[in-house]
Amino acid sequence: MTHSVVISSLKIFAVDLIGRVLFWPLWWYSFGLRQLITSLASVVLEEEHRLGVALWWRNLFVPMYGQYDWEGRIISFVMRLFVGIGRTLLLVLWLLIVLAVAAVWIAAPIAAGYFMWRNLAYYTAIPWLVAPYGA
Amino acid sequence: MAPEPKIPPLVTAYRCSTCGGTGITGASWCSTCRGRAVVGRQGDWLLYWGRAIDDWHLRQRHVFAIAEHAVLTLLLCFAALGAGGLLWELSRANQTGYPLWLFWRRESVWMLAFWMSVLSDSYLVYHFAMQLSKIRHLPRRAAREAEPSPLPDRWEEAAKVPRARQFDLAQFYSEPAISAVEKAWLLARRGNHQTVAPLHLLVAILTFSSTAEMFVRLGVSFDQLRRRIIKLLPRYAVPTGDRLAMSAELREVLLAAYAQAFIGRQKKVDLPELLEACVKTSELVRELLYDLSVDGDKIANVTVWLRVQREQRERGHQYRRKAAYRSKHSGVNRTMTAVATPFLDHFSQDLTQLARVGLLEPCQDREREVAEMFRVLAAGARQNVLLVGNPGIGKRAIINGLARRMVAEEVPPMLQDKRLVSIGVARLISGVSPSDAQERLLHCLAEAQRSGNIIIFFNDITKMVGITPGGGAALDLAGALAQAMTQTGLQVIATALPADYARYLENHALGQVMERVAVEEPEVNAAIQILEAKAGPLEAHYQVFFTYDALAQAVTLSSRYLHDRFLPEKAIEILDETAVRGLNEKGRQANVGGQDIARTVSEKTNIPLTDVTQKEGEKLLRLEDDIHQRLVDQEEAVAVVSAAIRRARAELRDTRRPIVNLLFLGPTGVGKTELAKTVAAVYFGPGSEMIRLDMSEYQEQSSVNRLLGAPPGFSGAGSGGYLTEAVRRRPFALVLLDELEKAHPEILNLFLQVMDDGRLTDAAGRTIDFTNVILIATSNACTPTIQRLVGEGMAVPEIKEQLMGGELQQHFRPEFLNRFDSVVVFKPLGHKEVRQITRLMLAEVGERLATKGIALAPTEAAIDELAAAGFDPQYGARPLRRVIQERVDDVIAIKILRGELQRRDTIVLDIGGSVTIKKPAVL
Repeated sequence: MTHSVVISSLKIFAVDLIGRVLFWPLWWYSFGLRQLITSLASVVLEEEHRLGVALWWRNLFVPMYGQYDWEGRIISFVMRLFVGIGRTLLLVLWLLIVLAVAAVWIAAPIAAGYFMWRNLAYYTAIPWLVAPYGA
Repeated sequence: MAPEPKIPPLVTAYRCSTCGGTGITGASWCSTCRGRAVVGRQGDWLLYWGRAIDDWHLRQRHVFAIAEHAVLTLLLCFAALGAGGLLWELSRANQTGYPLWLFWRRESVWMLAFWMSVLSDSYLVYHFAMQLSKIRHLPRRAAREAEPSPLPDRWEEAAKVPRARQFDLAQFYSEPAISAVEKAWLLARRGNHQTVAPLHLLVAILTFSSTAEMFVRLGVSFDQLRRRIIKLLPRYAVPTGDRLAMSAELREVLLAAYAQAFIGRQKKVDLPELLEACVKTSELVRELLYDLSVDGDKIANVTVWLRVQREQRERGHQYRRKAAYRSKHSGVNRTMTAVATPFLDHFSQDLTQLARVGLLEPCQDREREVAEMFRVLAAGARQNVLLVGNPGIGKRAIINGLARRMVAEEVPPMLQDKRLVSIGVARLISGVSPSDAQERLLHCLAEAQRSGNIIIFFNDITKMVGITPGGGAALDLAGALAQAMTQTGLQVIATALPADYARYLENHALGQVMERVAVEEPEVNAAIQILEAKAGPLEAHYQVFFTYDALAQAVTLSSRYLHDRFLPEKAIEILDETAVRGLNEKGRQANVGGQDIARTVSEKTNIPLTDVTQKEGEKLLRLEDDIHQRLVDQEEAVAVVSAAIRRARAELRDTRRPIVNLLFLGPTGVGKTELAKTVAAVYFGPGSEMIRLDMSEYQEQSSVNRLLGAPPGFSGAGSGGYLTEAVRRRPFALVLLDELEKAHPEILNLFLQVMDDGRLTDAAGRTIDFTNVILIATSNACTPTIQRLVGEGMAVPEIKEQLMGGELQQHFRPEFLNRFDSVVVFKPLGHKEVRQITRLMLAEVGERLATKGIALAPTEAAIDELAAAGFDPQYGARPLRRVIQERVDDVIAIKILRGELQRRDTIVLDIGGSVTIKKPAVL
């Protein structure tokens, strides 16, 4: 009895595993990609909140520390301009990182497949691939 | 027997009529229900347990789990190999001077491994994401929607639900909960039992370490429970010939656990819900735990407590994350428009800053007050909040909670990015004249207004009223504040006590610019929840564990017996004190239970509250004998009083009235007051005093003022009444109203309310609680009649009946007499009783002499002589004390002063007042 349970369970498991492997590429470029984009967007939004980029630009003409005289206004305008630019750049940097992650997600399986083939070809000596990149 | 749950279930269970809810008929699946056995209806939805639990499926899942682990381990190893391969290739490239960023161009076996591992990595990501997406959470339908529309009575109709509205409830079970059900099966299999019952599930639940905490909170010892279960389990070993299957009752438990989780708005059905369902559904489990004083409600409360703790921890993490956004520098807001406030900072404390670093605790269960506060701050004519409430009910906790919410930005927009700053009035006025203090205040307010991001908080704002810099019409500090608030629009939050608010603020300019938000004392349940939140830090500090009983008792006992203070503070203090004692007496990791709390409250109030021990029980059962050691005869009176004390101690009395109201009738000197004193000593402990009112002093109607306190405007107003103040200070005492018949009838009317409702309102408007007093009134009314009837040989009960029917009503109104639990007639003393009293009194003299090392030995003849001299039919035993003083005490005093008496001497008292001294043998 025990033996038959183990064998039949392993059979079911194998069939299940094949099904899962077949679904994997489909998931990667549909549900998985959507999940990734959602979580990356929340990362960017949270970072925006932490840096307060919009807040700084909105208050560009509001004097800092209650200095309502014209010297105060000029100084704080300049200050806010610089800080605003700095924070915006930081946010852009974050955006780039996030985009890079998304790009890696999209490219990874295709690139892996392509380079696996290349490396295999290198060892199986397919002529037009032996010396790649024109070397 | 344990009480059955009263609330109708959210999920109605139906057993299959063919198989009776077991899912099998003989050796095969039931053809009617196809193994579903029991289904539940939640409104239009059909629930069933769809996870097969039997040997074959358990083994299959086991094999699956092993195979799954093997595949994953393989993939993880491959991922590591790929990463290693890349590193190796990079280091080789580095050595040969190959540009590292072009690593992907390299070709080698290591790079092949790396690229393959990229694929396996992405499969792992896919696998775990799929695992996460498989987690199903309980539907968040409103409980209302799920309420049963008229439900069918029978299985056949109940099971007729479209497939789209049927679901398997096992998918909402957490992993430990599923594992508990499987363990229950295995337990039954190992014990060769015929059915898997809720008791098996209970045992399975107990094997999880996470439930251990629950049982600590329930105050149940594991050993006790284990012993009882071991006794019960063999009942399932009776062979029935059927194969092992889940019982219908267990299936109902599984449905009920789902309902519990649904009601508790849980994401999953977890072990606490299973346990609760076990208790609520299975009578056997209910009886078993009820025997250990655990019922369904208690489990539900403990479950809620553990849930609250878990949520608190989660919220704590969230809070810390959100608090990190706030500037570390006090006074700087995110837009940097705020101005530095050095002067204000000197006189104040930045509560938001304290909250940011985690020094302020979150506020529990004050959503209504907080919402009202937000509403006032956001809109309305007066945008300033005055929290009015009694001391200790949590006004500061609300403010601390507000500061935390401001830090986490969980506040309406007008409070976002602002500081809550508390100005200390004491600091403001210390060391300077009122005019300087006013200048300081105005300076602070000006700074706050200029900064523009400050909400000011004053604790107990009434302290500012009446601090006037000049004479007469000059504005006081509070007036100046009110003016500044109106002119600048500065927002202020403050607290005040209700009495102070009524006295100082209601008609003051400051009261006019602030909106009053009443903070009420929390209800018992809310207070328990507050204590649940407080218990964690206390436990961590004192290294003890509180059971749920401890918390519940701290709230119920303190609200019942500590009247001059308020919840939750008084309960927290009781908990704190008990924790210290628990640590000192039992050591670390000890359990603090309801009995420990009762002991603390007992010690504070001097009233016995702990469970009656065997020794005390015996003492209470022979109370009459104990009383008779101090009091001669008066059997009926002693019996009535003893019964009342036993009722009170066994907590069978009505707690809305005094412990007992008694009227002692009888001639003077028969022991009425003596019995009262004895009762006080027995119930309230030795040395406790009585509150004694000689009612002959209250013959005028105006003497009500002396009892309740003079009304405002009269002399002595505010100092409280004699009776009300005495009971307010000592709510557990014996109140003795001596010579009641002499009091003015209006005064007697006052006691109607005391005897009926157990409370009295004094002149200051405070309600004084009389529910823990023993009220005894004595009266000499009808003495001649009693004496005459006793002389005629009538029995005491008949005398009482005759008096109640006629003569007594000339002195007291019938409704007044009706309020007494018992009217006790004391019969006049005869020679025999007086002789016994003489013996008792001489024994008292003997006790006093014993402290000097001298013994007293009266002869029988001397006792007879003293009794005869001290007895007066009219005054009872009262003259006896005088006779003993003159004939015994005085004579002995002279002998002591003359130096005739030495230690170890014995005084022999004989007839005719002769006193001889017997010297002891020389050592």
